[in-house]
Amino acid sequence: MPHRRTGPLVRMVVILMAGLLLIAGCAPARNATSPAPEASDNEPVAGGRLVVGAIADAKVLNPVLSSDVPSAEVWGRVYESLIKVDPQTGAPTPRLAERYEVAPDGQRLTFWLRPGVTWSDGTPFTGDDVKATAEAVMRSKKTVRKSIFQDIVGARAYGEGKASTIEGISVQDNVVTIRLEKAFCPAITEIGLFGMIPRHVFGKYMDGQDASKNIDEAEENNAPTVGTGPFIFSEWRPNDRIIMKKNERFAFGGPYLDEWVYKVHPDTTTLAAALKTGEIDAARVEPKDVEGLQQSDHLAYFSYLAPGYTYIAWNQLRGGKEFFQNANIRRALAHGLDTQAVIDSVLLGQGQKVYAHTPPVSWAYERSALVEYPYDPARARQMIEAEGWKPGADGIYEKDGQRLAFTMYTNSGNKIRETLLQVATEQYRQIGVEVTPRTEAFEALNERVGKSKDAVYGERGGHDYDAAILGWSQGVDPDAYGVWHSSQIRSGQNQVGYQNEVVDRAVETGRTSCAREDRLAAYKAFNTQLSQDQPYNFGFAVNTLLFVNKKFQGVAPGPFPNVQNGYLWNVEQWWVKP
Amino acid sequence: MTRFILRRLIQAVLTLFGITILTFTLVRLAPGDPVSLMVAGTAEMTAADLAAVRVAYGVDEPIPQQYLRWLGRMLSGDLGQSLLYKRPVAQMIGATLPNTLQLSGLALLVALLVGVPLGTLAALRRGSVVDQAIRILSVAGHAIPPFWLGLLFVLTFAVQLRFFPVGGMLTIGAHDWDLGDRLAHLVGPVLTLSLAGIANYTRYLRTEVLDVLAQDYVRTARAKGLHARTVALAHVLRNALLPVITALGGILATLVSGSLVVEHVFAWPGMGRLTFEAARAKDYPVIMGVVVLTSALLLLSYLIRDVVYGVVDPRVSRT
Repeated sequence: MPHRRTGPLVRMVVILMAGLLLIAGCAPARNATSPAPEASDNEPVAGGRLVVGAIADAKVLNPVLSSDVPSAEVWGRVYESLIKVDPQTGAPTPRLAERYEVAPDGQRLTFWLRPGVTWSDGTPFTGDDVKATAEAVMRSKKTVRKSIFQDIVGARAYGEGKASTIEGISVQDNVVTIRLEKAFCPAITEIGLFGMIPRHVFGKYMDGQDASKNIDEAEENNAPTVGTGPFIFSEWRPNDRIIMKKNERFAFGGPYLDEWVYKVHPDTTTLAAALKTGEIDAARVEPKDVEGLQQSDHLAYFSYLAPGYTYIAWNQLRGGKEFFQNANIRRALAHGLDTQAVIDSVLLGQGQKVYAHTPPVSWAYERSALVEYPYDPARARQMIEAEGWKPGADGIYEKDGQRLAFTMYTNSGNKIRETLLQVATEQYRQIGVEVTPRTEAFEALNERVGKSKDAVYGERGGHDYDAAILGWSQGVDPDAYGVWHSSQIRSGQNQVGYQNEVVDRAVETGRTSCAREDRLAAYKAFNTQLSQDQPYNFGFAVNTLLFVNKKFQGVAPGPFPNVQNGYLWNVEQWWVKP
Repeated sequence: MTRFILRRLIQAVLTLFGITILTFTLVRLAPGDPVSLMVAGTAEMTAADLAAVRVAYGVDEPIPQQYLRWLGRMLSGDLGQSLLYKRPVAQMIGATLPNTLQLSGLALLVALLVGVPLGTLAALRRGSVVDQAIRILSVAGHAIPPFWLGLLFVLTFAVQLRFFPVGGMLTIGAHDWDLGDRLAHLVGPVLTLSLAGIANYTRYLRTEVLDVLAQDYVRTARAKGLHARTVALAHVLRNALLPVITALGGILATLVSGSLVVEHVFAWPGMGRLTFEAARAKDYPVIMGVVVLTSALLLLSYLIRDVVYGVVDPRVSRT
């Protein structure tokens, strides 16, 4: 499934250093000698150290056990995956597999491994390592990654100890074939982007016959000994730094840098300060710090939309708040909120309005298919009145003794969401809708939205909230079954109780008809329906704001695969201009 | 005496149990469990898989059972494994504690070295301009929030003037024993951390010294015609310091528990951040490990204080 479409709205601001080069060229010393040819300036040279700054430390350096972004940023440099993706489009590109194929029925994946790839200790990388990775996941008791491999034929049986190997993965020479129990189009990127771990290191912790043995306690989880990536692990000082050295056996060209350092600065303000002083070379920052950092001549600025969005969920299965079941009321709520004002005030313009689920940067996004809801309070009022609501004595709409009033939650400490909550409360008041704003700890909100049952609707009902401001961060594949299929209302992530046949069919097709045009059509229908029905106020997507020291060449960030591995996807190509 | 120490020891151990039970229960009663926080936002998991992961992390059982299991392991010397970092808690504390000791030890030293003379001076020059100036400093030290002071330090001395690094313990690439580099990294956090201590000790000392100055033996010493400095140092300060040393009783715990705010601002990898992060992630083996360590030290320092009291004043052991 080659995806080859640039997201139409990818915004990328690159500050070029052409001016600096010109100045250097004019230096008198250079004039005295014969000037070096232009081309040699752009020839990568080896050496140097990159210090990457982040606000949180990695947790565990093994893709099987990690579930957080910092860990992935580090192990992503150690363990390569079968494929990579184009950072601008999310389209798969070759890596450990030089070629890959998805069978038309979506039930078989084939990877042709690139010959000559070795681990950093010289051991060849083979299909058996792919198998070892899947086995390690299925036998792990602490992993939260099983969903990626569990649909492979025999994976469950292996995990439970009923088989001594995963039947559905066969390796012949350099060809790995993976059979799935059912068609699942996202498998190519889910399995393809998973970091491959070495059999010759982790094999000793596993035993095909004994399902109780697993890699969960392996010491290599915190100190990888070998890798296929551009850097190999050297030292970890918890909550301070992780140091990695160049892998001399790296198979994909480069790396040019000698050393790669992951440095933790937990405070965003001092993280920005460290960028300014040059203590760190690259970091993602918050909107408030952008202006100050742009004044530093030695920093290049990149801003691009991240796949994901912040939204307001309307709980349709909430006892006493049945008005959320009425699509016209939800549409009125869409017209009644000036999302752009929030983008401008909190994100300082570094974001974009969103109208449906698929990220604007995805190959599966089609803006023309979407219904937009411009800010129009008068129209919002008309739409509410058309449904038979009348303003009460306090200006809030009423119908059959029920007030158009509800509580809106978000998690405390998230400034963007708290501002949206505040703006929504004020603006909805102006269209006769009363919002009671509430913030609570992320853990508590997570529990409220994810688990609890509604008092009125009971088992049939959804979750313990009226409305909530939440967010999704999204990956490469447009699959949205878990969030929007009607089967996911009670146990899945469809926490608003949305049910629509067109959407159900579209997200099913998106998982089972793997031809690109089939999926495109399916997600187009899906997004159109969502934008019409407004089960969320889809809110906005925010930009990733990145600064990198200008001395580094070859920096080419983009929205994909997502924040994980983000801008570091090609760090082996980075080099320092002398 | 032995009976007294024994009784206090038993009390301390019982208190420690109480603290662990209370902490364990409170941590587990707060909303959200570590596993759901771990999977929040990641791929969909089946209910069965989620339940299996809860079993693997030991968070599926009733809280009393979990506590007993933790207690059994702890008594055999095993603090367990961090849920988040998947490595032994003892190893994590072992790697973090020395960092905190460097910072808090130095900050305490600075606080005492500055606070004690200032407090004494303020008392000796009571009502003078010097006293007023010291009082203003002391009030400011109490009132200024450390995170603000820390940020101010970073923005002024690290970013504008480039005198010191922004944060961390050591320049990347520098040798562990590069003392100049280490000191440059210590200046900001030590000054920020010691300010509150300076303010405290100054006020404390001033009160105590004034108290002692009113004593008869001071008047006698002066009447004997001793030099004012001799009176101040030998008669006044020595006696005024005794209660200060008592007040240091809880210091052992403060020294190891670290300061979240200062560590956060200066990117210092210490116990405060370790504890805070563990609390956020409900990483209860780590929380419990830190709690056991700090409360044991606190109880130990109280015990030592009580024993010393007992030696000095026989009446204490009978109460």
